[in-house]
Amino acid sequence: MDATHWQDATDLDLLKACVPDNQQAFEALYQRYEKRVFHYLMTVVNDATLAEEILVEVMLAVWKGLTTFQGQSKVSTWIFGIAHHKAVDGLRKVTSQQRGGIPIDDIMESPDPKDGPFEETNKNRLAALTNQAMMNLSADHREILHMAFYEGQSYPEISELLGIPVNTVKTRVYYAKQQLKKTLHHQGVTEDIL
Amino acid sequence: MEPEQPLHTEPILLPGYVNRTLPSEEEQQVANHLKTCVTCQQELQEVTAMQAAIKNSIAQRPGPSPAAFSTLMRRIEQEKQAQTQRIPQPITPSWWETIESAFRSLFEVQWVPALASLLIVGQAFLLLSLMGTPEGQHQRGEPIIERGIPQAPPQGSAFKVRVGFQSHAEAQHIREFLQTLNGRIIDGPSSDGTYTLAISQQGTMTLDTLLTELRQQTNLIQLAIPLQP
Repeated sequence: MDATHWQDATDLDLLKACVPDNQQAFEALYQRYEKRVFHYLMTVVNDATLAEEILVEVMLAVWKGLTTFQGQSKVSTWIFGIAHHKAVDGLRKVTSQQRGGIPIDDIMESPDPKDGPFEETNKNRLAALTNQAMMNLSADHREILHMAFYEGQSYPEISELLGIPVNTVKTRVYYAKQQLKKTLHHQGVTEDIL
Repeated sequence: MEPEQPLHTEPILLPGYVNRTLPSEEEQQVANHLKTCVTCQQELQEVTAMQAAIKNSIAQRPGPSPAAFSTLMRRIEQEKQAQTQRIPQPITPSWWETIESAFRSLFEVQWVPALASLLIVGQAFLLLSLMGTPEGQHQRGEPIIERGIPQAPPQGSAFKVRVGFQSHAEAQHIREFLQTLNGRIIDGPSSDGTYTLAISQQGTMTLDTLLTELRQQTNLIQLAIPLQP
């Protein structure tokens, strides 16, 4: 039985199948979440190497918590909650050590400053510009935009995993979006291009 | 500079409206509002476009390297080993610990009365064996029946003789003499002050030769009379 066997299983069923010590099920769980968690971590820490290190820590914590997960929240909320705490720890270490990692801009295709944004309207260019704009935001704003717009999580879910009130989530998403819009404008990206 | 507060609450709800995660009541509220508010219609377009741009930009990021999974599995194995080491293993006691444990168990509360009784009985036996004959028929102060004079019956065939010791005979001399004969006092003193001796038969010794030898010890023995075995 390989990891593809669990393709159609719900997150909760997959999680239950991991206990006790089912390596194939855990591998399937890892494959299901590795990219999502890694992308989230990249958004928050803006460092591919650090994001990968934290990903290992997150999934190790998931493995340790398999038997204690109560099922009171969604599996994804639980996993992203762990990722949030690990990312905050990671950021704190980076701030104190000022390590030199690989920022997201370096692994994305960056727009050439000689080319105006209006000449490059393809998706890749816009994606790179959006990434650049995102990385100019604060970690809190980047994180909440990622949760709301990329993960498509509801306000209560974001509230639970970040540990902040729902109304704070709503206003933070709004302000983060406004800040991103402003930054994109500075880069020459206007609504009609978006 | 912080963005301006929206004039109404609906713009704040628009991200949730776009990703369709609002509760049905709020979703209906936003939908109704959008029918009449041009500003919010523009905001909706903006939010929708921004969501698409963010989704597209993040989706184009590479995933983690395969090494991350290898590292994770290695860490899990290390964790399993650490957990195994943390579980206390049953310790096989050594032979000495087994004996000590059994001995200690004797001193548990329920055995105390039995042990105390055994100790008292043991002390009594020890005292009796040190003080004289098992029958306890001797009298303190008598020179013959005292601690140290052989009392146990000799092994093998033995002659039994009733003897009366001289009143001036010393216990030390009587003891030495009885040891040369391999004899023991087995009873006495009787009402007439005599003792019963059991003397092992040695070599060509007969009852007559024994009596003769006893009677020759006039400084120790007053009389010697053979008894029926």
